[in-house]
Amino acid sequence: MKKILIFTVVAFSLFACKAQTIYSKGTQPEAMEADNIYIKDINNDHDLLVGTWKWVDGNSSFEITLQEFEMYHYPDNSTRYYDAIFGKYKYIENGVVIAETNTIEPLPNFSVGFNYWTSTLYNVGIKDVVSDKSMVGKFEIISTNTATLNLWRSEGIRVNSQDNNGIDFSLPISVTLTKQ
Amino acid sequence: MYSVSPNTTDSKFYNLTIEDKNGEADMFVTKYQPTANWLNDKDQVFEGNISTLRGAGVFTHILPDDAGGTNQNYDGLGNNYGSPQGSPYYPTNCDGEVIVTMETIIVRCTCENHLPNQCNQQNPCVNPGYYATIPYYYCNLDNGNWNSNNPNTTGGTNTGGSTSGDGNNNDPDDPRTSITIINGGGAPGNVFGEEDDDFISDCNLLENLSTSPDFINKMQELINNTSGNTEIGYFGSTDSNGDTTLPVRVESPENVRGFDTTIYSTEQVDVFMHNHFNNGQGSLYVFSGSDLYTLYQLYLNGNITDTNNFVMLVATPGGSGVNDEETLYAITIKNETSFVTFGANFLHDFFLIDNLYNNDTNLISPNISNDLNEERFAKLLKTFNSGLTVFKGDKDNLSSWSKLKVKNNNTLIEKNCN
Repeated sequence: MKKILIFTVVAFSLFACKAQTIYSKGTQPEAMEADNIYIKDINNDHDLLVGTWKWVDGNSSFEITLQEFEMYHYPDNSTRYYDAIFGKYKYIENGVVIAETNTIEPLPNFSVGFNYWTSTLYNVGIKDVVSDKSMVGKFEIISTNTATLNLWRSEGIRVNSQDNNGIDFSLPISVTLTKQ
Repeated sequence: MYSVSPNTTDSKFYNLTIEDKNGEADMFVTKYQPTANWLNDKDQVFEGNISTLRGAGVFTHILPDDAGGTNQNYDGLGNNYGSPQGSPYYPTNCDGEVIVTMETIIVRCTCENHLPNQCNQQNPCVNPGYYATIPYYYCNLDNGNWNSNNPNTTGGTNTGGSTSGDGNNNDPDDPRTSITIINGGGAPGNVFGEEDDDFISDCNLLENLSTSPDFINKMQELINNTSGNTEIGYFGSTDSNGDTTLPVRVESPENVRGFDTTIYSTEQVDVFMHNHFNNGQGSLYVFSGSDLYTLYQLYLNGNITDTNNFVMLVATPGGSGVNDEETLYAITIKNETSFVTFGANFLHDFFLIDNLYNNDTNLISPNISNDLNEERFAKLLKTFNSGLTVFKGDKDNLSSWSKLKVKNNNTLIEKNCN
């Protein structure tokens, strides 16, 4: 009787849990299930990306460190998982630290977020902790150790925004970086 | 059997139908009372009143004669997507079973072709339009083996309950697909469900905008400016007569996107509209994350005094698709509670929602077509239970709107307001 009960519970659990479907990076949303999915870096494209990238010009430098968050999901109740990239940065101008984030945080308190578009092209979002302004842009890997970063303001008319404070965006918006 | 009244001045004619449905014999009479216009040209679509008398031995009047009525201007709410298609005319050539359902049609205001009672209040329309419930006939060729698309799947008799059918009969997951079969003499119930009420209300709101000259002029400016180099925004309100004025104008510096502005909490905002433009970095063909952020800020700031009366619109440039062209989109707040939760979780910083647009599960981007963007955007609103409804407009006809609805099978449909 006990065995039957255990079997019933296990069988019920198996039926109750819908299987998770795994997709590779770059899969279009229309080709995916709406829930219980995992968009995985199957081809290890992130290997090229994670680590530290640095732009240097004399005593000025801009350094971004990127980390993969495996099987990440947001918000907590979402069943849509993906291998995510978040990061931190340090910007020094003429030997003076202008802006820096010391830890790598995922959503919602992230300062750097990279989203896959192709294996060498990522959509980027960076928040400047000095001005409280953010920018979006593109990070394009042009060789195994070289990439370009271009940033701009995302579009939209913002009412009563927290970043309407008169302080300019302090980070560089167009640089070529080298993998360290 | 076809019969004609001997009283030619009455101009009525009748169909007597004897049927064998589900093994039970029955019969009913359908009365047609055409208009003079139709009598003068009988080749056109029937125009006039239709009613049905059903009886098994004794006829039971199942539809008030004066509640029917149909002409070429009516909008059937049923059978828009369904198969088999229904018809207000009895299918005399049907080789299977004939199913009769009660469905609601819209007879539009004749002066401005608006929904009923939406004509200009300053100049009341002689024929303001009305909703009417009439019999619709379906021919079941499968001899009872109806699939899930079929209105007969619910079975049963009409008890006068709510059916809330909107015509999306092809959606097996959609609880609103139920259409009650008239087997007895029950009166038709409330055919509009809650969602239909929202849909009609939102359509009225959007169509009403196009009657305001100030809206028309300024929206045209925004459409023209999608090929310009600035973002222009207008904030305004709608008065008790339904007239919308947009006195507050803001404009970005040239080639600058994502600019900030301040709206004081004393300003009532019923309408906020703006344009996107492409400055070479691509442009989103739907609302941006910052647009949703602004919507939430207007709400938090107390500018939106009535969420049922609020509309946010955007005019966007053509997308990357071959046939993409300038498009209008509108957002209404369908569920205030859900919207507040959505805002608190995702719209407290536009940096967060911008990132969510781009992540692997959403991929809303300037680099894809209008169609994909609007589908992904509608799905994002649904996935995050935003409480928002999105509509797509027509830059050449500001009174033409369609709701972009994500169905339970995760496909997108356009539900036309007109």
